[in-house]
Amino acid sequence: MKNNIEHALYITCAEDLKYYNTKYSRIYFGNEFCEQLIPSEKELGNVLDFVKDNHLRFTLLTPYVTNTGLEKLEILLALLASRAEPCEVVFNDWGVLESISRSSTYLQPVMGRLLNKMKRGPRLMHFLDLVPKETVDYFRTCSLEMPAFQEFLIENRVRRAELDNLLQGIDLDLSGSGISLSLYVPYAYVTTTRLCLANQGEEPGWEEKIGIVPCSHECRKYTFKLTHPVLPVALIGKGNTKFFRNEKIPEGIESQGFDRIVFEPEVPM
Amino acid sequence: MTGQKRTTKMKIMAPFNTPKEIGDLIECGATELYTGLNDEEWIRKYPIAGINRRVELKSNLNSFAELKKAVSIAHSYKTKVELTLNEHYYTQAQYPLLLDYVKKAIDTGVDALIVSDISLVLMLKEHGLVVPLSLSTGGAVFNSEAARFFGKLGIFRITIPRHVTIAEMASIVEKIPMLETVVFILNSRCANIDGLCTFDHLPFKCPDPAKFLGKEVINQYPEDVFSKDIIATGACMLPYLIEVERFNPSHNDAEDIQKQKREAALKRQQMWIKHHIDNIPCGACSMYDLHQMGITAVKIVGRGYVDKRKRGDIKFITMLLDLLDSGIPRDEYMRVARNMYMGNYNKPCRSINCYYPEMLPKEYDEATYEE
Repeated sequence: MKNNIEHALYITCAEDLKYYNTKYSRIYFGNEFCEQLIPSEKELGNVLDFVKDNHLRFTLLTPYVTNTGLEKLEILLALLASRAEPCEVVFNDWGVLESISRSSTYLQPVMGRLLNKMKRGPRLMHFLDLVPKETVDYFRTCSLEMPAFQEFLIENRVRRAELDNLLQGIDLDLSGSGISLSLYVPYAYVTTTRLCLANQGEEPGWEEKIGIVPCSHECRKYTFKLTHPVLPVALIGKGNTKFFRNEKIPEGIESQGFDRIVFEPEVPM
Repeated sequence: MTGQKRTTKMKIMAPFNTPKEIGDLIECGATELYTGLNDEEWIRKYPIAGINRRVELKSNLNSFAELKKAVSIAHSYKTKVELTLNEHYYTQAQYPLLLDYVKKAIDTGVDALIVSDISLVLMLKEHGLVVPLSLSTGGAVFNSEAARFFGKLGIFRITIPRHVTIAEMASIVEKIPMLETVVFILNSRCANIDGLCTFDHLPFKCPDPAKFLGKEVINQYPEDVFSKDIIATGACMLPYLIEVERFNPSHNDAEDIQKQKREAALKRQQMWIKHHIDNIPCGACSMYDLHQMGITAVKIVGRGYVDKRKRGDIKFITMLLDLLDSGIPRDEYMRVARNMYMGNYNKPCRSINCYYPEMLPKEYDEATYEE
């Protein structure tokens, strides 16, 4: 990998700072998929201390949120803003972008991977040789390539977008657009839900029930593997989200506008 | 919920996919209609990437002539028609076809487009294509700030996603009085968040998995895994082999408790293999609260369902809205609604097929029924 690619470490709990080494110049911390896993001020503070002590840069990860979750995030945004130092906030919810925009110009919004809706279902891989080239091209790009959308993002101070490492490859060229790209490796998200099957999952009587209820973070205890012959790779289920693993970083991504690799040492929940 | 009585009735948005059924659907109680339209050239270039979120041919109209006829019939009943153009994203290469499609759609007289992709909204504006825009669940609006964000883009109506509780919904709606709101009320309660789901929807079946995957692959798996069509079944409901890959038990639990919890957790992961998301999920008993909080319209899912089913669904919801109009108290309404669901669909209410499971008294899940 060339020297102009930044390496960032993605963690969802302070314990995972154990994966830090000097190859990383940035820490990503937080949660993208569940507002019940938004870190506390104390947890954020501890990670920020580490970031400061090691002269690193920082990115806060945020999920899609209800009004309650937004209130929790606004406390963290206020904490970050009070530091009066530039840092990034990955938003996976357009409402969170609104909050960031009202907060402080020290907070740099970054468009999260949930807002880039490229198809990730592994079953698609069976069809890439069977469908017209136009369809294959469709699955390898997204609306980020649209100049109108790029202008819109820049008007809203968004100059970075996060992408998953898709099995079908990415054919997107944002070089010269003013928007840089990050690639998340190795865990790509496929789908997410608020009807979390880990929530109450251990409780007798909940085997056939679902609901949106407060949880005990059961997701932190379990990682599931889901296999089916029609999927070329297994799905990984953790909490309310399904992922797959793709460790192979494509060649030549710098020429497409990628300037950062975000490494996820653990399933990002 | 505030005690103030609302005077306007919620609308019923109903799906259609042929012009000839429109009159019947409106007679049954539909007050707004929505549909999708396939384009031949689109299907030729993008056979598995739909122009809207229903890729099956039967779920869509087949020509602009059909759409124009449908709109004309609906308008003769003073009923509006919205056209779904709600795929999550479109690409640069698709826009020449897409913009031409929109122009033709506007010419048919459709009253609004149902959209998801912000780029599409921006492109319509850039090209001077003026048509009211309603936001699909693809917009994934879970909070009032997100709703306002889309309002600033020119959206007049927000479809609140599934997976939002009644209390959360009320919290959103009270802060966005300038926007209309729609919620799904019957059918297709996706296991995952539609607007954030990247699984494929495929428009065909696989009659011969051995031919598709190869016998060597088939032979490695137990037969159950092929109990559902491997292509036509939503990827969220395939009969996966599920195992615990990693388990970090609580050290406070004795070993036998850890084992019990692990087994329960694994069993729960089988949920969507056992239960179909289209097994008539319903939120009708919550319409009292939806009405009180000011929801504009309830939306019945079902593009592609047979006519009889669509008419039956509309009549069911219409009866309940009429009941609401009578001034029935909340608890009684909810009880009657659940009984009517059972009477209409011959199915008990259970959280597994409830749009708002937090509203369902626990005795419903605990009761045994002859199904």
